[in-house]
Amino acid sequence: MLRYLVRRLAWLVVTLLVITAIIFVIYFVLPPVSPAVLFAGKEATPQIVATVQRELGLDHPVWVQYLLFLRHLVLGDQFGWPGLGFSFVNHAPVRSLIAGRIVITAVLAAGAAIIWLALGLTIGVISAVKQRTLWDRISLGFVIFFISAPVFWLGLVLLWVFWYKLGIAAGTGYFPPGQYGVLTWLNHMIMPWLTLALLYAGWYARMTRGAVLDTLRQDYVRTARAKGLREARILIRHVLRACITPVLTMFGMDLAALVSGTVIVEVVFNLNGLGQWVVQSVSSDDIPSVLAVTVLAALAVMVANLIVDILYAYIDPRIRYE
Amino acid sequence: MSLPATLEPVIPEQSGQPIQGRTQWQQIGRAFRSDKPAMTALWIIVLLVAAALCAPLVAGLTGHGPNELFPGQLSSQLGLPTGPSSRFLFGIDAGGRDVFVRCVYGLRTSLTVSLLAAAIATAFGVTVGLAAGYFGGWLDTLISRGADIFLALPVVLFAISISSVCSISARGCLAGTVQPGVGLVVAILALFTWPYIARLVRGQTLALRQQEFVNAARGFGAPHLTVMFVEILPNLTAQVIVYLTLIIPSNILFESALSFLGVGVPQTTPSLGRMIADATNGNLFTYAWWLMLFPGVLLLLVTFSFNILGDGLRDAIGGGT
Repeated sequence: MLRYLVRRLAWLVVTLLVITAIIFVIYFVLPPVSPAVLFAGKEATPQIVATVQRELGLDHPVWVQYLLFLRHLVLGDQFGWPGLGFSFVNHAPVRSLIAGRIVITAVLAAGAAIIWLALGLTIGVISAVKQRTLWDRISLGFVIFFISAPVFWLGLVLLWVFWYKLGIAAGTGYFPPGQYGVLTWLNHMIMPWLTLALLYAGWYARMTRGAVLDTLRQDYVRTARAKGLREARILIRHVLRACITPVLTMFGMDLAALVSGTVIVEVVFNLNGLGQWVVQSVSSDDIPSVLAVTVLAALAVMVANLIVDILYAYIDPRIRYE
Repeated sequence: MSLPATLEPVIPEQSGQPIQGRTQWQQIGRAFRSDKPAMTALWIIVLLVAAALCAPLVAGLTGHGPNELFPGQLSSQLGLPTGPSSRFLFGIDAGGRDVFVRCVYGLRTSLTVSLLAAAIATAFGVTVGLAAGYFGGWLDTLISRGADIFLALPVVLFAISISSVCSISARGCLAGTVQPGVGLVVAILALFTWPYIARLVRGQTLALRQQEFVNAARGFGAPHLTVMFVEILPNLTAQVIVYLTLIIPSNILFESALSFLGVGVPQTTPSLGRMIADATNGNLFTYAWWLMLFPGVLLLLVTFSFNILGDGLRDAIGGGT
């Protein structure tokens, strides 16, 4: 296990370097104007541009600029750790602007992930056990429908039906539980969670169904049946356990997509998290903010991937010795 | 002792028709044609593509351009958009534009962007995947790890980054090679989908590399490129096509999502995603339901059809991904 951990951590460092390099290229090499002009915002004075020029080390060669960018990120800058720069549009360090928003995005992503795993696994297992019945067909239809639906449109339709027409769900916006009570908070989070979860639940239902069907054909399941074990016990102890690994693999791979999904859902449901912030920052040309959120999201996905991989190696010993 | 006559072999000619082997593609075709949902989906796609191709014709028939304003059609008291009528099939939007004509043009944008991006991603992914699987070694490590990293990036944020940085001036990025607009969206989509194709092709090539026909071709002195593209590639076509039917709808969804967020195709290009974004302006859609319903249903219809088609193809080909 220790060897696996060391190798996995080494790979994490490599990916971090590659990803920060990609982001650096996007923001420092690609743009048609000087990064200083880009970062200083629309109403920048020549003095501000000169300051940014100095802070980003733009009068040095490109590789020094990259090292400086990395140094700020890893060791922090004058505004604290991690160094995410200064938003000239908002006249404040980016770090302080996004600190409170991270919680909202994390709450949205975590809640949606729990619902989507629960929903996907349940539907997948039931439709595998009841293969070729009406239930199986309905759930397959459900799967393809939600895989195909545009997530922003789905959110708007849910809003229109449950909030505007039926009036049984709360509208948009984020209402912190500390201020408005847990119920109000929950009421406003249910639809965003569901929207984001439905986007992925379909894929998981489909994959779980396939995995359960495969496992049900295994010899050890036949042995378990021959021993006279109850079907429910076989399903939970023998079949589901074997199906957890592929689900976990897919979950690790989908974390990046989850971040993408939260951006859209936050915009649709007017939740003031990182995703909504990044979209607002694009329209106000607040490039340091866009950069900061991109870096943070990419790093968060990397770290989450690491956790999934370690969990994976813990559950499935074969992984450790590969 | 003589054998009873009944054991004599049946001669094929006696049955009237000579027996012919079916090629792989004929078998796939037969299996696919008997799949009703998949065939229906295929026809819907053909119809939608035809409609998209005929977009200028639709505009000509209705006499309404995609960006033409009909302010006289807005309701007289509040200037609100009006719903579907015989003249405006899908109603008009807040600016007084024909939603039906814009939907058809939006569909054209969706299909153009997603097909172009899929073509570029396939060309690149197949080449890179073949090379990785065929040559192995450090090239394989480099390509596979590169693909892994690309797959772990939060695409929407990178797309937002690239398009916000490259749209800062009309000159675009990389000395004008990446212009803001449709080309940029295509480039972003291709950039983030090639790893899927490359991974699939690499895996299959790895298995095929060991087969006799590859050794035979090498033994005859065929150069590497010939073996890769003439011997191995034809065996992968079916699976790549299945994958394409999954990538195209996901490209369509992605383009619409980017346009919804305002970082997709430019304002002047009609896009289904942007039409839905416009409908959310001041919660307009709660009153003018047609602004959200028609573009959304159209998007759903396209992606749904492609997904059903992909499922059907996968079943017909067997195994697959």
